Amino acid sequence: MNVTQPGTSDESATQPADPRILEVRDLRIDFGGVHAVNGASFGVPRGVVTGLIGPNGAGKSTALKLIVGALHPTGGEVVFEGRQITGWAPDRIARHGVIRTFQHSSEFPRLTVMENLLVAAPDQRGVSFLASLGGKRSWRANQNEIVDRARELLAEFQMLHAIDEYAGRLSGGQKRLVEIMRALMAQPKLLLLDEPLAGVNPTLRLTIERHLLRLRETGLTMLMIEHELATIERCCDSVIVMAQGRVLAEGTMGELREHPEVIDAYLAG
Amino acid sequence: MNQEILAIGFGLVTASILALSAVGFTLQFGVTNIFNLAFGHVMTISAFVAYVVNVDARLGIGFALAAGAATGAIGSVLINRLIYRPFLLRGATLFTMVIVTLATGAILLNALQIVVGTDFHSYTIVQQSSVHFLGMIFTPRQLLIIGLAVGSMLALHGVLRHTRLGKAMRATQVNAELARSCGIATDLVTDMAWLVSGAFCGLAGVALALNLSAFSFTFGNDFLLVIVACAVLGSVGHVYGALVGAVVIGLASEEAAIVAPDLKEVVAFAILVLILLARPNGLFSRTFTQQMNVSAQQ
Amino acid sequence: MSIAYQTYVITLLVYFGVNAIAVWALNLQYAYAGILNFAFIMFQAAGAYSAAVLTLGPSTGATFQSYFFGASLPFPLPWLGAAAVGAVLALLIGAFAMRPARRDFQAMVMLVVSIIAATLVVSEGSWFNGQRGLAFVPHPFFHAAAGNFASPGIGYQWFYVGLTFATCVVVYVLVHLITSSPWGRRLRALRDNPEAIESLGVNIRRESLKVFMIGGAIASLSGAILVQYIGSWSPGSWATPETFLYLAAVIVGGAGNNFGVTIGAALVLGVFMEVVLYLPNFGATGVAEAIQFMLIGVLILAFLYWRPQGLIPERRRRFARRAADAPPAPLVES
Repeated sequence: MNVTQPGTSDESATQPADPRILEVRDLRIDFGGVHAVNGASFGVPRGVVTGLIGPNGAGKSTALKLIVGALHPTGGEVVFEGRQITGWAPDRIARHGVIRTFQHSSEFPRLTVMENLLVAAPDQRGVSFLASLGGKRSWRANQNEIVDRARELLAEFQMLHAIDEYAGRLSGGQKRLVEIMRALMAQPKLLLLDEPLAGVNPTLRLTIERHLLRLRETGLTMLMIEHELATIERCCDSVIVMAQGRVLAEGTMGELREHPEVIDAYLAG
Repeated sequence: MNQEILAIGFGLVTASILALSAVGFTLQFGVTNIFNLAFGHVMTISAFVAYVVNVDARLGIGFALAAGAATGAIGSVLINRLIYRPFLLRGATLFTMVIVTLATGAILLNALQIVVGTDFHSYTIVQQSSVHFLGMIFTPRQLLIIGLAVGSMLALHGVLRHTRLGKAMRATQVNAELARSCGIATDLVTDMAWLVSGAFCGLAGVALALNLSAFSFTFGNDFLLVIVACAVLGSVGHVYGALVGAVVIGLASEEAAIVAPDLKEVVAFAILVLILLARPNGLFSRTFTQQMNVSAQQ
Repeated sequence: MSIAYQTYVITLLVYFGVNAIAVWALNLQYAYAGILNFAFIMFQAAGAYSAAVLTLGPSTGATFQSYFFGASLPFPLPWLGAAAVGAVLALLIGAFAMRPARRDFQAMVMLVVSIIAATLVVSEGSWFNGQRGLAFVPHPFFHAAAGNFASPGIGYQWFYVGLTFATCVVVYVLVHLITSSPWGRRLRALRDNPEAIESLGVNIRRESLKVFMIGGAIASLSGAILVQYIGSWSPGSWATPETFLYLAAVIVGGAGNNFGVTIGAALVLGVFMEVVLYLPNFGATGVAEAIQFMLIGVLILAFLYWRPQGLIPERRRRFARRAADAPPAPLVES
């Protein structure tokens, strides 16, 4: 399967790859008095899976939205691959390789599973008005390639049988898988997962974890928000802890278990 | 007589009518999350019921107003219960709902046309002399309208701030699901919201009809342009914002009318375009919609 | 066939062609970008007025009408001009109407735009001759002697039917190319979940605006075709009820399916409206029409409630290959 290798952007070809693909510096957002994110700073290293944990209201989801441009910060900066992306529009950030999944189902319900995947491919032909006027001949070959890529992905996630199902008719767990596959089709350099296991039944949880571990093997850089500490322990190489809009600590789960502030804020010991 | 001062007087009357209608409209959106495009038609129907009370039954304008308010209130609740709610329960998207309100409005409009025809009508009101005040001239009708608007706004303010219903409505407005989980009977609150906003709608319809020399079956919908402009200016859903919008647009359009009478609607439209270009979420978006965001945050 | 009967058939055919083109435009905006264009009829009117003004000649001419601009352009320039006007109008309206993120908010703004447009055109007599509308619009390729306003003969009318259908074919090909392409798929995704498609790198505002402009251009073209057949256009021809009819055609026929909406146009605009002509005349004038529109409203509600996909739903695009994609045999969870 063709998952993008980290650090293959043209800009970094002539420079040594920065070990941190994403840096967040003193990020803040203020909702009329409520400081959901209040001076958060952390870095996401390349090629590994980083977890982002913290109690409810810590600002994890808000931080993710700030990174992908869904919200605009009132202070601080977001730097991706050495480039300032603070305040960029979400589609622009996505085109540079930062792809996210959503906490609540966000499939395209009236498109089939295959169409959900096709739509995410960044190298499609025929995706503009003028290009569409060129007719099938101008984009068919390219589409066939992308379809093959999607079929491989569907096979790996064991969803080939649902290829022509309307995504809106799938079960919650299947929708989750479709969303993850869709994000992968976008060939992300950094994949941000917003609680991928939330509300998922235990059997499917293990399945998704298995897929995440597989992706980890391929070297895909991921940042994952999750509440299930067991999952974090199994899937993440390092973890960032947030509380009250700030970063409390960074490190491995083992290190964090010893960290007094983290214990206070979050872990039950 | 100073034209600008006179225009302020007219502006206050227009603002009063707008206050009643825009507040009603925005309240409906605020609590139910629906842009009720049938609003103008309900205004018209209420005005016609008031007409029947006033002209056919020869009762005073007070009875007519009460009849108008009641029609608007009951009519709005019925529309929600019979049409809007079933669609919402079926999982209709916001996109679908706006077509539903438009179709409902069309049904109401044409039903009304069948009943009352296309002629113009006027209320009968006892002629009294105009009142002069600070360089402005008000007819008794106009004073009635202003008084009505002020009284209604005060009453609404009282309900929203100081009664349980008002607090429940504000809670439902900010986060319906959260409100439900707190034990607020959101269905009942929604009914009450339609009742109250519907009453405003009815009163606005009668007030508007009073201010026109003659009205026909489309007059309420023609006014929708200005109502929407006020609501958007004040941030849709924000009751006090709609009030501000009503005053701004009411005064601005009457001042513009000094230059040319046709400019009234153009001014409202121009303000709408400007606010959409500059601040699509309205003047009060910072404090208001961000609060809505916070409750949805993790 | 008698001349009168032929004229009747010709009228039906031309209207059918015009309505098909209009409905394809609305379908493009509604089902392929999720834009609810309540100002739709305004575009058709703009196209009609543009074509009229571009063929009537300067305003000081012999027809005693006052209007803005004025030229005597040969076919197909008035039609292309009309389409261009439609696109520009869409750009101008889209610039502010698509600022709010919520679809229903946008739709409401467009409704409001159509209200103000109708008011202005009627009150500003110098723009398009106000309440009286424009008349004596020349027909393409039909050169009457100066001052001779005789109606064209039956041969010409059949020619116009051919012209209309040729245009239909061109528009259909264009629309089909768009809707069956990867771009069309992206647009449907945009309709389904704009936030998600934006997170995948699509500039939703720009793409929505493009579709709005294309739909606007096509809608205006339909107006041009119509005005050069009828020879006149007045404000009464384009009140909000007309948008309503087109919307009903799309909803009943099947939003997202070009064939479906064509059937919808034929049913709603053709059959439904024609049937009323055969009903006995009762009540005051306009009552029959009011009942018609009431029933259309009920029809829309009924379909949205019980059959929102319409009579002929959006096609499912399939990618499965026979045996390779068969459902897996039940496995024990590993």
